[in-house]
Amino acid sequence: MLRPITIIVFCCLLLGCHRTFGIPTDIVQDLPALASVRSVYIEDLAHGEDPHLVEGSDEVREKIMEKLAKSGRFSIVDSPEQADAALTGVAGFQRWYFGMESFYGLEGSLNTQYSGIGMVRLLDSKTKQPIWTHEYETGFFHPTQSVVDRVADQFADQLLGAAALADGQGLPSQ
Amino acid sequence: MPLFLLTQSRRKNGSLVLKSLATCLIMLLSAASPGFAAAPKKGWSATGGASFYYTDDVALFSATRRSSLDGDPSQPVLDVSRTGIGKDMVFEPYVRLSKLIPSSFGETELSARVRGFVYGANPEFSQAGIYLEAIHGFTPRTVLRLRYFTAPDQLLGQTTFHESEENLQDMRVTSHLGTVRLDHRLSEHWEIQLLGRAGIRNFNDPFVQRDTLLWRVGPHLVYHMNHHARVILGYHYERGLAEGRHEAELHDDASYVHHFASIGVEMDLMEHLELELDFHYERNNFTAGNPEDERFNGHENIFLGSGRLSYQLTDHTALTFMVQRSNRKQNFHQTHDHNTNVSVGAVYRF
Repeated sequence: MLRPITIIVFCCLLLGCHRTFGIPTDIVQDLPALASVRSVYIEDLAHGEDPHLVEGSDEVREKIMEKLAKSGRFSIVDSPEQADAALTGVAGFQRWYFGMESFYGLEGSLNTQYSGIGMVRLLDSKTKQPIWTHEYETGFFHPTQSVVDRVADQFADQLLGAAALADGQGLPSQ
Repeated sequence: MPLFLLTQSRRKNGSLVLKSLATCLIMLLSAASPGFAAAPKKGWSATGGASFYYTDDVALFSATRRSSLDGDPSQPVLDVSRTGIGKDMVFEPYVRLSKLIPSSFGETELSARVRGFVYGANPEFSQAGIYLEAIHGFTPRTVLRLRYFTAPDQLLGQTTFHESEENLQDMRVTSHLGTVRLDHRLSEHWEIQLLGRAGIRNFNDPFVQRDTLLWRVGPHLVYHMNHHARVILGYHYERGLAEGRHEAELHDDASYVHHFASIGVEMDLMEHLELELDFHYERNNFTAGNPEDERFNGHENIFLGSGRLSYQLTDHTALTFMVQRSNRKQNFHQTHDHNTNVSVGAVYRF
């Protein structure tokens, strides 16, 4: 009887693990404010984390910038002073290994799995209040989609979706 | 009660104690988990998984599973004439907890792993392996790895002593092995790994003359074709010195010289699909000096091939499929032993 209880308790405790990297996880969808945001500055998404704990932040940032710029909904600017809002937080991926006998290698992707991570917030440049937030949602990988693409696509798509909703509601822009 | 049975009983109690070590370690890991839930920056990671195996030879399953450059390829088995006791389904759960510790001296990772083999139709063969490991990266090109591995009170099967077919006895072994490995990246494509290992194997009472002190050395050469494919070549030399070498009258000196050669290919077939192919050859030359010992001038050849596919399904889940086949032949028994293992499994990162 002890073993099943131990295993159940163990699984529950592990499933309770949650990585937030010190970033507030409150969900904000201020659509009136989002409707007025046209220019965005994207900060460093490593958020000061150890590069061994959060990898690929630069690539994710580049891809988010690309996708937002390509949408035509937002313009990406080079400094926070030029922006209506700043995208801040942490985004990237972590490696994990599952080999039992094998030591994992010095470098390379072999024997390695990846999990996306991230919590980003769009902050009003003037008030510093959150306008929109999103926490990375884990799920199924497309067989040919890299983890960087998956993380960047999810954040960009969610932001564009929220912006479309805000615009579609005909909310007044300031 | 005969002394032998008393001893066996004590051993079985010892077995329960040792097997419960795995449970205790799991409880320890459970207790540790809230710590990393609350402190995600500290680099804790936990992985758990399970595989279901079909094996056509219960007595050889664990030896075949552990036969790899970083495994325990010299794990004892019964003489091949006494294996082949049947098929089974084996459940293989495992859990791995690790912590990454960055410092000014480089990165250090500490990990603890427990793996079990739970047999469906032959539960007396069920066993656990415990791995404690420390990996330190002095630089991104040079890494030192230390590992302690133990497989307590592992049942190898039933066999006889002194060629008598009566009184079949359980043969059990407990292994304690320490491994050190230094990895160094020589260039963009080449990496060398130097491995050293030493340990002891303790057998149960009727077979204590097989208690073995062993040491092993060997280099591995890794050719990184690119970021997604590599070839691994390895050779190990191992010397095993059994207690029976001091007791010639028992005619049971299991001392040996072990040669192990391996070639493996690992590659990413797609973004999330990885293929691993290995081929191993083992040669055990027994060094018994008594002509009346059945291992006098004896040797054993083992060929083993394996293939594994792993597919990452979600951020936290990977699926695995594996096939292994081994072929063993000893020159002092006129039998070949084959062992085929097939598995499907899943791994979850918490």
